Amino acid sequence: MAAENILEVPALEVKNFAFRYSDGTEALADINFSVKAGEALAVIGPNGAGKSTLLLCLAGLLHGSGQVLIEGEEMTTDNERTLRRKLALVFQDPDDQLFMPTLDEDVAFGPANMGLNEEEVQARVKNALTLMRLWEKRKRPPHHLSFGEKRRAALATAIAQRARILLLDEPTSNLDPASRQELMDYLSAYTEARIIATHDLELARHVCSKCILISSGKQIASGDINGILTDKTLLNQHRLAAG
Amino acid sequence: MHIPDGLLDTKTWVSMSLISGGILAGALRGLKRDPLLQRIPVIGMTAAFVFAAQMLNFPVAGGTSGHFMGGVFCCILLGPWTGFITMSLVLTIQCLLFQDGGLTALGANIFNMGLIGSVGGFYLYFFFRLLFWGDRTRPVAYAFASWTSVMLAAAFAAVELSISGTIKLSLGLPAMLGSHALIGLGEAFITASALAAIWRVKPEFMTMQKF
Amino acid sequence: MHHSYIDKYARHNSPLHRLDARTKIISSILFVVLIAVTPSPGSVFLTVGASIPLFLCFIGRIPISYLLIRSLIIIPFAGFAALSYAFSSSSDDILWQWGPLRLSSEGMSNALILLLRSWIAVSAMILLVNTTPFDSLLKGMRRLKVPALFIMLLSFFYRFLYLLWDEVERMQRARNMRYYGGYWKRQVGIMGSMISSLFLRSFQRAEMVQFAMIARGWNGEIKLLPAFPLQRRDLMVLLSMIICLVGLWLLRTF
Repeated sequence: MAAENILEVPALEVKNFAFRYSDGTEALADINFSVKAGEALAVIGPNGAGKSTLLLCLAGLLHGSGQVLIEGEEMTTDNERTLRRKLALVFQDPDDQLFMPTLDEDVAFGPANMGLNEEEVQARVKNALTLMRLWEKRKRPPHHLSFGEKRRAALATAIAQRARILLLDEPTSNLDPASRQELMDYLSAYTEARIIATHDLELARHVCSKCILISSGKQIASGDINGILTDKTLLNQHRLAAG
Repeated sequence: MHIPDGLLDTKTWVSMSLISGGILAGALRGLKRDPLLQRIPVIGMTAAFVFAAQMLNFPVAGGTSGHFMGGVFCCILLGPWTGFITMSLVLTIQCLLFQDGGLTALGANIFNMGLIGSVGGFYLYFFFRLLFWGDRTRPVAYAFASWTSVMLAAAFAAVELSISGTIKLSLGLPAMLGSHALIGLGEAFITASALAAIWRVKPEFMTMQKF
Repeated sequence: MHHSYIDKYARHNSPLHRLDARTKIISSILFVVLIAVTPSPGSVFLTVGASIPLFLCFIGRIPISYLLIRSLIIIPFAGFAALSYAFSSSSDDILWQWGPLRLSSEGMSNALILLLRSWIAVSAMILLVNTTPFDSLLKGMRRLKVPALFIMLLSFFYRFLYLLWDEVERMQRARNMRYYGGYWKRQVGIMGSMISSLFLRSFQRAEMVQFAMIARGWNGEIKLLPAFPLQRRDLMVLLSMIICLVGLWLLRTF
């Protein structure tokens, strides 16, 4: 067992990563972490810490310095298209993610771009929409869905990609308590690697085993989730706990 | 100034449809070769923005349908031919979904507002830049170019109607220009303030960065 | 928030709604063109022409009142043209005169023809979008060989339209909550800043959507939809529509 663990390549690894906006402002600096296959990592931090930017960088949509390795392979501008097939990203605002005229076309968009045949695409669409209880609403345009439905729809588009690594940006924000619980249960049962950016600490505790804390673009702490979430002084310092 | 069906005679609407269709096909072919084809969401968004800005319009005297046209705005932002495509999108949706402008008159409407009012307005902007060449008077040039482009588009609509024998030029031209002189003011104000704001905050959005 | 007043009835169910989009697109275009090209239509032609949208409205279970209200959109233009027609005839049978304004019966009938023509065409278009959901309309257009790039742009446009509407509504509400009336110059200023902030918000949105597309493997290529032939029922309907239109055309001088 021990030997296997050493040999195992992490699903995603980040080394000395930094990112600057085009105007020169430093958004992220010195980020280091790794996620094993099937593992869930929480990226916690206050508003404006750089969590969303980090996810966009991990998906190769923004380019910084340092290394991002997907299953051991370094992401470069040349191979990011192929490596992205192993990633699926769920944006914080589902309206950013849903852009096709109807729900089923939207879910089909990712799989169709992978070059799968029509039957396989349709099978994936049906599977993902059924899982998210949206199969009945597949012909609806996004503006005829409630917010909770749109969030589930956005998740369905990512599920249909059958990615090795799922990146989620604040997946529980704005959800009612029942939908939130449902989503947390679904995410804990998910078998592939997950990276969840959030300041919902209950979600982090429920789903993730590892955690990094980012504040003002810097990685303040990393390690076991319970270690970080029980450190009251640390959480207070970075506006993640009140009082 | 969206001409409805039934006001243009056959020779006018058929030739206008052929001209506009041909230019649109050419512009689309050009866009396909554009390495920035990934700007498709941006083009769709600009078209939708032109639409939404019309909602914020202030009422023009006499209940006239004082639409923001947005032609100069699109062209300065995206370049003349992508701007033309954007305007064609807006006019097509207005025709299909809102019945604002007729189906047989779509070619004429694209010609007036998409070509004359937008691409024409774009080149007028260069002319006005020569008069208002300072860095701070750029919005003034935007405003003049868009007001003039609305007037030109209205004049073309009046000419087409008179060629069709629907409204005499002596009656149609003053009526169209008179009402659009006011509408053009709204147009000028919206175009200038929106473009000036983009220039201030996100100059990298502008295709026209030099002038 | 649901802004469905434009294609309010598009997702209802009726024999008209169940037809293939292509059938409806082709028939509508032919009908509108026929109405627009007929040089001097007679009263029978116009009556029959006008009753077709009303009849289809009944089949498609769309309230006549809705059709009538939506068709008012032609008034500014067609109304002005009709007025100028009514008063500009040179014939002698003057019905009413006031100074240089002369209302002749010939002018009146010309004005009526113009209004009816315009109304019939606009009604056909209202029926088309209210019996066909927009996405089916786009698919139908795609299969009728409208360029794929244009269709894709239209579908983005349609999607963003609703997003921006919501955005505008939210902004107006936020302004109204804190706006207590005042000087017009200030009002114009507020309008300007609302427009520019609407623009910047929508561009950030477009950038994010672009990211979302690339993240899902998009490389600028436009996927074509699989085309399937028209069903027999649709072909039959299309054929009978064409026969009707030919019949209507034969009536043109009556």
